[in-house]
Amino acid sequence: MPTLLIIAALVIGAAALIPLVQSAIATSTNGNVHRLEQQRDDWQAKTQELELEVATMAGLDRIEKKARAELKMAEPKETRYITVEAAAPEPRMLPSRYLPPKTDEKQAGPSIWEQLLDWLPLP
Amino acid sequence: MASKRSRKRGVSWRLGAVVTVITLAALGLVLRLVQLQVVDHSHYAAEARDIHVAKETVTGRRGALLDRNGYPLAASKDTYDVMVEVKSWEDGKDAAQAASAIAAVTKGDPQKMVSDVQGAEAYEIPVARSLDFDAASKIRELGLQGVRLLRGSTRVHPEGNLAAQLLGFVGQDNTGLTGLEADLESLVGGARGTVIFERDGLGNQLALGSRSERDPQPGSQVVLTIDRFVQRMAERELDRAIKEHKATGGTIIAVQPKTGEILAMASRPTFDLTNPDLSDDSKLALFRNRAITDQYEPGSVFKLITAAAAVDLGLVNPNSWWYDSGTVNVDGWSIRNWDFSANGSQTVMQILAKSLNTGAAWLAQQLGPERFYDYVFKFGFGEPTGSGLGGEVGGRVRTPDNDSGGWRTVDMATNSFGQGISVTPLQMVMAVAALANEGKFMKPMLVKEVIGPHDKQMSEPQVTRQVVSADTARTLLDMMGVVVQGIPQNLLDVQGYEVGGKTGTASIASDAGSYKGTYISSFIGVAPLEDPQLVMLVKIDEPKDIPWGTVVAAPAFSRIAQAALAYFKIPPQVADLVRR
Repeated sequence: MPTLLIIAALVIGAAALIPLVQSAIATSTNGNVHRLEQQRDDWQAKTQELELEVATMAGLDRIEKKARAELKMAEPKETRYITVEAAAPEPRMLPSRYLPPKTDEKQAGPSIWEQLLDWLPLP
Repeated sequence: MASKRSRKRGVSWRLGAVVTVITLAALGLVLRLVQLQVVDHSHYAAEARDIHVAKETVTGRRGALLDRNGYPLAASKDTYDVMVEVKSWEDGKDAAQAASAIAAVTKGDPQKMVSDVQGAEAYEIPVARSLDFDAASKIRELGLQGVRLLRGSTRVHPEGNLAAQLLGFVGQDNTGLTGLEADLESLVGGARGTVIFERDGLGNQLALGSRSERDPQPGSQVVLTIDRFVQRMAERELDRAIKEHKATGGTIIAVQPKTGEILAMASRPTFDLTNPDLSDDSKLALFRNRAITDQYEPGSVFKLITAAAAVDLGLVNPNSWWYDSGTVNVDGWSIRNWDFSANGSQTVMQILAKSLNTGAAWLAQQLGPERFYDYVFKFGFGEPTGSGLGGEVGGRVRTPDNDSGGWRTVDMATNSFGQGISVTPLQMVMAVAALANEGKFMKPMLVKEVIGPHDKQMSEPQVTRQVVSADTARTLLDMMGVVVQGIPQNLLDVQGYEVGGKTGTASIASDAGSYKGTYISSFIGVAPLEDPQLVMLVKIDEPKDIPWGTVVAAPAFSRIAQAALAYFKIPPQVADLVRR
């Protein structure tokens, strides 16, 4: 009888601990989510800064200054044009970072389940 | 017995008093609780919410403005404001320490930070604004109590001040104030979001606190028709011409005639786009896009329009003869040539080549007011071009219909050579672009593509109307080619390409209506003449040394066209310059 009482007390104690454990896990998970969101936002911000740094480095003024000062380049006095018997290159595409994310072609059509549902005589 | 009874009565009295006091106290507590919980519930609930619950407006990332090849001309990056909870800096010593730590990162004044915070009545205030990512990370690592970072956004211009008036700028609230930033606000602005959350003493979000959120929507990226290379070339040549001729300002617009795409739109004087000065109202004039807001009398370049109308109606052809006596009398007024010359028998071709005012007036007389102004309106004058740019004006064309009291026949004569009529630089370039596009007037295009979060929209060139026949347009282009042959090579020589154009030197009218002895020098050109890919207007305001468009404006056209044609890989027509 005392053993049963001890076991029952332990079970009740353990059951009482479950909400506490759940709460602790939820708190911990929530904290992790916030931390990861923070990290994601930080990386996005850092990526933006780097993108703009690249764009600034590609600025025409900077390129000309570098060309003149470091590479000692100058504008040509005479221009000669050479025709090349080859197909013209593709026009420069927009940098991918400015394009919308590609849609998954698999998702474009209805799924098997949607097709099955279409067969059903639903209103 | 009596003393026992009196003691019992005394106890009973004291007990009664204690019970009464306790009862009254309990009643007071209950009443106070009722006041707090029921009567003033909303007040205290709001106060508690203000302390524990934060509401933040989150801006979506503003879309970038890109040039036609995808190079960003204006883009946004995240920045951070350092917010301090006023209550947490009540202690002077702690506040000074925290402010010193923040100031070490932001290079700010710690004493000012403390005084700002301690004098504030708000819950929290910013002590530093627009920090970059690295500085914000350092502040966060300090872990200061009552200090948090508020994410915001700032506009960056990788090409510096390029196309300043056209692009415009945004205000502190990240909303476009001028230029395309304002005109395209609905596209690039995105939508604001809101986050409401419970916070701890540090101002950080509680892990298990309640939270509601409405996500911000990022703005669309807008690909403009502007080409950064041509734009930069135009601005550089504009600055050079203004400096060489001590002019007060000017405008250059370059257009692709077949599509109406605007490749460059530059105006001077300009402003510092990266740090616009809003301190003085007089500086506001610098922000306006003069290519669309300022009207001017175009002068002799307008003879192209008069000649095109006369040729299109079959009244004349380039070889039609006319006698120039040096004067045309209209309503008692004498119209003379710019050099007071009398040239005798001349062809219509020579009217343009020698820029004869008398010839233009004669052409207008052949047309008559109704047909003359009909063509003027068909070429797009007198109404905005439909560029979509805010503040665009339509110019002023006075006709017998819209100004029956003030209009006189001599007005048509002066209008025929571009005086007494007001146009914008964009109207002028689009009108000549129609001649370079087989007579088709295009709607000017500034937006090539809009790339949204979920879709992409391409702009298509739009033909507004057929202004003159393709044959007339070709004839006028050939006449423009002959005009250019009369310009010395040291002023206009686009090596390898045949180009056409027309110069203009227009007197500037004073506020009183008379001419004040200052000029606008301009040149409008087409290149290459055989298959036009570029139409460009160069307009220089009030040059001090010499007024002639040939000398002041044509060289700028020559240099820009030479560079732009090679840049666009348009092969030269002169075989000697080409090696296979």
